[in-house]
Amino acid sequence: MTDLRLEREFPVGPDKLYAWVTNTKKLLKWWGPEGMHVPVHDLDFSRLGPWYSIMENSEGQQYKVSGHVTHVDAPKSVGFTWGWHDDDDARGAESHVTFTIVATASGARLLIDHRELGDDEISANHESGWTSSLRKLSAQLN
Amino acid sequence: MSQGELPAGDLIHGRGMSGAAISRHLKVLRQAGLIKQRVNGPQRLYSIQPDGLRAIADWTISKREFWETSLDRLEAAILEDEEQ
Repeated sequence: MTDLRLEREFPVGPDKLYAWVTNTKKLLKWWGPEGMHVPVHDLDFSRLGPWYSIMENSEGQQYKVSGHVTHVDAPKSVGFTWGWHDDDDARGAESHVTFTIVATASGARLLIDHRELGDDEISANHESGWTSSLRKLSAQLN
Repeated sequence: MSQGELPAGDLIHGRGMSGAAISRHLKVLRQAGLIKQRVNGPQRLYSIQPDGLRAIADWTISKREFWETSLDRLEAAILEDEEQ
């Protein structure tokens, strides 16, 4: 259960910062360590549902991570699950990430919380992931 | 061990750990597939398993590393965007 919190303040308002951390085109400008690019992805945190990204370094080594967007509350917070895939595409332990945006005097602050999940939380998140997938499926069928 | 195979006795020197403690560490590393043990008469020889180490380096970017480096890039991207 290792918890990680990072904070950073930016000279832009909450709405603009929210766009930077949820919008595909903007996310791709900063997603992952320097030198990585993201050739294949479904990276949109502005809506519920599945996401994934395959990052690639200059040597062609690929890193895949995937999950489900579990809550969206513009322009305050988004939450999504997170799991690395190994070389055989097997997904490792699931953790949960939350972006929280707080207005400040000079702009907005971004808080990133990355928590390991216990068994109960994993099943609850999987359930909400499936529930949203099923909701979309039933919308298609109706 | 970066120079090659070593007997367990040589690994103990200068570590400030007991032989028993070192041997417990070696056992964990061996079970994780990071080192290999070879028995040569009374000696146990240890060497690095490059594949095991590479597998770890290959698909773990630590969470902290990922987010810290990403935040640096986010900051640079926002500042650049604001200047325009």
